Amino acid sequence: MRLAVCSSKGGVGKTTTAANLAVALARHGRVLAVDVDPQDSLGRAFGVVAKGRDDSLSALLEDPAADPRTVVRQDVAPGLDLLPAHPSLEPVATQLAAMGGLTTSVRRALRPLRGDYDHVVLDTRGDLGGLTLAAVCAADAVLSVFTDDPGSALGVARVAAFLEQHRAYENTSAVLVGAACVLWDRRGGAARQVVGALEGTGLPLLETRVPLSRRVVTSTLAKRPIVLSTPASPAATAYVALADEVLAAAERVSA
Amino acid sequence: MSDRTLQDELLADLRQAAPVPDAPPRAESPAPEPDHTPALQIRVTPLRWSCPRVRAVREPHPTLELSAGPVQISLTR
Repeated sequence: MRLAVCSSKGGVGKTTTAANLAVALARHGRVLAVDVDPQDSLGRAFGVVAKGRDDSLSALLEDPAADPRTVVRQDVAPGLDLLPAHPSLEPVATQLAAMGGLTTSVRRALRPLRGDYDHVVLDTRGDLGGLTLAAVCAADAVLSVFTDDPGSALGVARVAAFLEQHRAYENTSAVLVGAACVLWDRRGGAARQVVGALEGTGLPLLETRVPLSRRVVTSTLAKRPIVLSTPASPAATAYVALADEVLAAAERVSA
Repeated sequence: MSDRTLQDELLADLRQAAPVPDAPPRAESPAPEPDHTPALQIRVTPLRWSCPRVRAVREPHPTLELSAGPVQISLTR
């Protein structure tokens, strides 16, 4: 599975979800986590910070002949390698877009690694711009996430429309395998309303909900995703269940 | 405002945010329109005679039918 985690809204937990899913999926095989966000948050979630464009995804997008294995950080967690981003990704993307090569750039950059991994998890920025499309074009499955913020539900709906549009344009064959609530406050009414409204859209909602937890924030500060740092916690258990549900949904869709 | 109304309003927003996507530009030329060339048809039915009459038909195409004895003439526009 090549999974892109997307939302048109920032701050809804995409990176935390991508990091924890990558760790959880590594129980099933070798995983590569790819940061396609110039804010380089996915690498930071594991304590990995690229020094410049030469040791980040930027180098691979700039030079199609570059060997991605020289940039990939090995074993940032058991079974998990990481391809970090760097803020230089922004100008590199702008340059590629001007030349017409941005949309397929991430897919081309990852092609030499195709046989090395069972799963690839791509983290995207909080918009539906060219870099996000490049990530989606490198994926065969898309997961969108939401919280108790109604704006995050709109982010899910916009991802669904974005995917449909680009599938119609044949830019990608990636499918929305589901939308997951990654900040579930069972005592609050807002999350229930957001879930209720999303259910009315017919979009595929995943059953697993990641409970609101301060430990998730603490683990981010400690640069160890909660699935690694506190694997028995309810949030970590939920992320593991979410990884299994996403994998099952992706297999159903591709069958 | 009730919870139900808030949820309904959000649902309306979501439906607006995820409209049916536009169809991609099609490379193919559109399907040709049906041929509406005027046609004159004459049939002779020796075994079925009819009284002289004139009939106008609107659908599917405007047609004028004339019948007299064993001859039926239809003019389609």
